Amino acid sequence: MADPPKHKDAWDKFGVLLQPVGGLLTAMAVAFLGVFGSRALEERQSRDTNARLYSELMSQREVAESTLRKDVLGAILQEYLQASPTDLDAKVLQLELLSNNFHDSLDLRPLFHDLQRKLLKLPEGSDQQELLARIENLAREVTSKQLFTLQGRGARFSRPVDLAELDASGSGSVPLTPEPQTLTIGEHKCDISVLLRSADRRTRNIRVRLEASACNGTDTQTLNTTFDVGFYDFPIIDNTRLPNGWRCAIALTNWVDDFAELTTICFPGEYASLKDRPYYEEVIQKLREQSDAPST
Amino acid sequence: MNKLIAFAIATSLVSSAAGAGEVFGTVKGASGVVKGAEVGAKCGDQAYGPVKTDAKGSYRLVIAQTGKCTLTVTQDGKSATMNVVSFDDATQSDVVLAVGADGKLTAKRG
Repeated sequence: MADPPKHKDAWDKFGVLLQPVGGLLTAMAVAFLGVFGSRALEERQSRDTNARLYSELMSQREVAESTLRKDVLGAILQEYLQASPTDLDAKVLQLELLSNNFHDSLDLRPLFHDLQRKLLKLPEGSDQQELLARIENLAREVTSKQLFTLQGRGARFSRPVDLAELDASGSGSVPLTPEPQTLTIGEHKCDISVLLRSADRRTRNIRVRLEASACNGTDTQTLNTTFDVGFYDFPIIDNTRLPNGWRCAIALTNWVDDFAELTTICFPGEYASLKDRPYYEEVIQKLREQSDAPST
Repeated sequence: MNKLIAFAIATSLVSSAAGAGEVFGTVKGASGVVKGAEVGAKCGDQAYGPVKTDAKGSYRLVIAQTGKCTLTVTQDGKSATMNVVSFDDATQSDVVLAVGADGKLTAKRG
């Protein structure tokens, strides 16, 4: 006996209708996935291409700039060395060009000293004073720029020097500050003392001894070094390495009659001149510190 | 004519002051920067200022001569002095104030 026809309820009808719609929805979902997937891939490719293009452009610009700087440096140096020894005005101009373009990568002190020696030999009443003032102002500008750059990353202190008092002290050492100055950079500290030995008013140089102790809170041996400081000693270029990776420099920032002003600045070694490469040991120590530091 | 001479003198005074040195810095006390302290300088017979420190404790004095000067800082009616040197260029002289056991205000370089 045949079964009586089964009555179809609303769900059955809905199921019949949904079968073709389900197929359609699946097709649409696949199409959407394809479109969005390919769009995402395209965007990623475009970002990669842009990044590659940017890096290539930057690299090309760097190469072009290096080539230009090399050519300019070569041309100015050649001009400077070939210029007539009597044409000191041209030499001053060339030194100005060199200083303004290469003060943070080239030790220009020998050129400044050479020019100063030549100018001091000129007879009084010539352009001597004007040209000497020009190179001194140039050097002071460079020092000022470099101190401004470094002070954001380091620590400094400035003190006046009474030259008459220094002369009267004979061959003894006069401390620049009554007590060592504790300089702090980040979490590191160092005690810095500056002792004044003598002053040469003609060349405007002061002989100093720099002492560094208790760096990083340890009772390590006091390090000391003696050198001359003049207007042509630039802190980024001419500085002393400390064992904790710092560099310390003393700059002559002012000089008038019986008084001078010395600025002592210490800064992380990374900000030293481009020519001043870190020791491998320093790099390894820094890498060790970074790997030992707890990750945040 | 007198007006012209007076103008010439005034102009020369302004230009000499503009080319003069400048002493600037920050005044700090035990609890941080000192706002509203008076800072003046005396160089020989000539007095400069006083000026008041701003909200950041900074002061700036234009000194129309070079050489040794005495900086006087006055806070809450008490004064302390410190030696500074004025150069052709600006020079920074930060001041740290402290009150001694005897109640006197002292100033030293920061």
